[in-house]
Amino acid sequence: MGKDILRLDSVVKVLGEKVVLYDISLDVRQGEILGVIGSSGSGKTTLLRTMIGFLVPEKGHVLVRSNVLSGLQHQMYASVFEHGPLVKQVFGFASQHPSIYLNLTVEENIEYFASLYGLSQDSWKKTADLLLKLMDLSHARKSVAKEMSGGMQRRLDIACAMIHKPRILILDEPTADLDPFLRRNIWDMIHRIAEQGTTIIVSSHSLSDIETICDRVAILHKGRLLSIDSPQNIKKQFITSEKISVQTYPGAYTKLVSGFSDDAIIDMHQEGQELVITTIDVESTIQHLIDVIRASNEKLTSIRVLSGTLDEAFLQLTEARQ
Amino acid sequence: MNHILRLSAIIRKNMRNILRSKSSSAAILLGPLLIILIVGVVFNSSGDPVIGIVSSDSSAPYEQSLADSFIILEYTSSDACSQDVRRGVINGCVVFLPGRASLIVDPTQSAVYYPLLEKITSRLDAQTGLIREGLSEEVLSALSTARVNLYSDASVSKNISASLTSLQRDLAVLRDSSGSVFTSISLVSPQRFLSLVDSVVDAQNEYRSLAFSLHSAFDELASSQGDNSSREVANEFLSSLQRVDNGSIDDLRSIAVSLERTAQSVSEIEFRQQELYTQANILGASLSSTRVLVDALQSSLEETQSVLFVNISVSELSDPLLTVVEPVSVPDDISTLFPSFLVLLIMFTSLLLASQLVISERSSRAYFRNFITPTPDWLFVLSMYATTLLVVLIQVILLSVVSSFFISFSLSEHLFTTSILLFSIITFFSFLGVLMGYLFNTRESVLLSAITVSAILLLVSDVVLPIHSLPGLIEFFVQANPFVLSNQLLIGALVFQFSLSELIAYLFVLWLYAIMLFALIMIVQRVARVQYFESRKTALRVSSFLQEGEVPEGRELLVFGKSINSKKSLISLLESISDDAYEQFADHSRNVFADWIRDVYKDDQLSRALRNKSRKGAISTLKQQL
Repeated sequence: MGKDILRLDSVVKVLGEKVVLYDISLDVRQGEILGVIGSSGSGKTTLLRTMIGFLVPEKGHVLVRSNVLSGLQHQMYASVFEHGPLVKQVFGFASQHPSIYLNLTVEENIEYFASLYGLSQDSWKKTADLLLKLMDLSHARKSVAKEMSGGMQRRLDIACAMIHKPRILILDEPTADLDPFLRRNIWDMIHRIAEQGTTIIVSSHSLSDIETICDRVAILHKGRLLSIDSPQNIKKQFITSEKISVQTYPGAYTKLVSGFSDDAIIDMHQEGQELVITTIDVESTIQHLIDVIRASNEKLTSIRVLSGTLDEAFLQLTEARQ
Repeated sequence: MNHILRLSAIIRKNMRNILRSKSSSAAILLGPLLIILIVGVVFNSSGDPVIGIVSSDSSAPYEQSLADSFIILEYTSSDACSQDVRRGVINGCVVFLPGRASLIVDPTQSAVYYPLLEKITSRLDAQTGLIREGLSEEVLSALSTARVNLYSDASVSKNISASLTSLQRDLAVLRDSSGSVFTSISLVSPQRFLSLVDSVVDAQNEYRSLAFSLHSAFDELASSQGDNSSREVANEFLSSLQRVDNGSIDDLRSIAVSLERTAQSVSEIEFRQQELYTQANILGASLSSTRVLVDALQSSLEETQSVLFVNISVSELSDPLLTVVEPVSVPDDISTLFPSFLVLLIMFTSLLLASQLVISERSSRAYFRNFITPTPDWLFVLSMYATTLLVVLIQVILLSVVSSFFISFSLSEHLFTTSILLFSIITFFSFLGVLMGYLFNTRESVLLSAITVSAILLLVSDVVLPIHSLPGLIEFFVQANPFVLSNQLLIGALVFQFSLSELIAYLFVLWLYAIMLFALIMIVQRVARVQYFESRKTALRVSSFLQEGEVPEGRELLVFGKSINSKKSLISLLESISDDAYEQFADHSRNVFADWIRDVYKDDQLSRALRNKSRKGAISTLKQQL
């Protein structure tokens, strides 16, 4: 990962009478995919909108590295609030609900937003071709947005957000309300965009998706940043137990459990045809388990380690905070 | 250039949005046609209104005259007729009573009320006029007869007057004559005559003694001279004197007696004359006053006669003041109303379209994305206005084309002036619509507010209120109503063919309104945006570091591998580097230090002071500032 491209210093944001963001400080590294996770109302959207300078914090600073802005090389960082037009060229933003005109076609939407970024026709047409290919929308250029599926609208929205080739792409819940197939589609596309060097900040409820695609994850809870690290480190840090799923034949689990004693085991229970063991030391527990099975008349048919997920880490973290 | 491209892109997008909505495009294209259709139907309608009639004995001629213009339904009672007016079965009712007619109309039906009232009264007036003419003819004929009679009466009175004058003159002569007679008589009064007679007797006696003396003297003389002739003369004289003496005295005495009698008679006459004189005076005074009266009668008769001799026609007598309406330059009703229709169309379309465009944009999913693009807010406002302008112009052109075919009214006659005025009027109402769109947050409230504002502007206008009869201040406000201004501008240009310079005052006020509206829109837009996306609290930009003197992390100035985070550290740096090194960052074309001060500290004054300064000069300036 490169240097930081965006920094938030002690950002406090108040909406109405409610403090939505408490003293948030974080940095976004060039070229990374940063996931922002949190429950509903945790302040994810407010954080993302503050990052692009759309919302002005009551306290703190949002700074973008100057080398991505033309004409401000003598400074290391520039405030997103003080260089509006320049900063706006740096960010691309796709919000939770597609920000597109439903009565316009795919091409017309792209043309319109390209014009708002001051792009010439030659310039945006080339970018649009690439984007539509990337978003798998080439065949739908002339389709009116309102006649397209939710997934296509979402992809069009992202295409509109990228028409000016932003250095930082912010995606707010890009897979919300989409079916699993479309979600997979969107995440693949995000991955492809990241491969082209664009820094991506993405928020989502789908922690499993975030876990697989993001380089780092920021966990927000009630407006506070609880953690920001790689998914692995977060899991390592916050998940204290793992699960082992075992299936034997003929499956006399009661007998098996009665002869099984391990200090590392927290819980054992039967789920259908499987025995699920929760342990704090997977390796020793598996070794011990195999020994017990060999000593019994049971025949091992399958054994799986159910590794801790980000969901669990998130729950652990937020519950601990509660 | 970029802004123009952006503006055209937003307008294209707006137009596509409008035209892809079937109802919107139908409204744009069919709206003006519908207006013309309605106007055409209203003004060319041949259907007669239905009225009820409650007859009386003398109403037959009136009913006949109404039958030409109305469909008549006969009613037996005014209550039944009135009830049907209330129910809307008939448009109005005329109840004929002896000597009067009552009109029963429904004032709540304002569209029918005044035309119907006007039509009925004009028909009845026409019939009344015919009857009045007949009566006038009779009056004139009677007057003519009176005039002839007066002529003869005037002659008689003239004769009387002349006779009286003559009689008065005679009386005066008589009075004068009798006066002189009595004066003369008074001069020869009997007493005086008698004293005269006595004087004569005395004188006679003296003469007599003198004669005797003279006779004696002549005797003596004759005796002395012996001349008898002297004696004879003296005797002759004496005897003649004797004769005269005897005769005259007697005569005088008889005259005196006669005179005495005459004097008595004269005295009697004088008494009578005095009476007569008094009577004559009384008569003279009576004659004078009679004559004055006769003269007055005479002049009155002559005056009446002269009046009667003036030629009065029947129409003059029945309609002494003939009122003729002469329109200033208007050939027909529809042309007069066309500018008002045009302003109405512009007002409603501009207000509704602009407000709906704004609220559609604000409630569209893409609203957010518009704000995160580097397009200034005013460009969006301008694009809403420009889109509205375009659509309304299309409507006006359509209306103009259609109206030139159907009602022979074209806008192309004074194209330049009309274009300027239309542009100004559309501009104002579009800005007003845009403001409505930003002021309210839902489609319903925006629509309601746009309609309400239009209705208020329409109601407080000369289309509804008689402006010139309003109290001064209210009249001023009504006159300042943009709808009224627009109406006057278009009527001035289209109906009265005023030039642009003659309308410049109204135009100036309208543009003043438009500019004020634009400023208001920019304020409201900013507030609406903050309210919509953020909070009711105005966002404050945090700049506490400026007071503290140190810039936050990340805002440092990087020079020669050093990080400068305050003005103090900048002074230290400048003191530590050479002039040549300084000039690498600060020369005539650029000054990195001044730029940093301007961008981070927002201190333009210090930034300007640092420009074109040598290293030492910059150090000195910074120290002074600190």
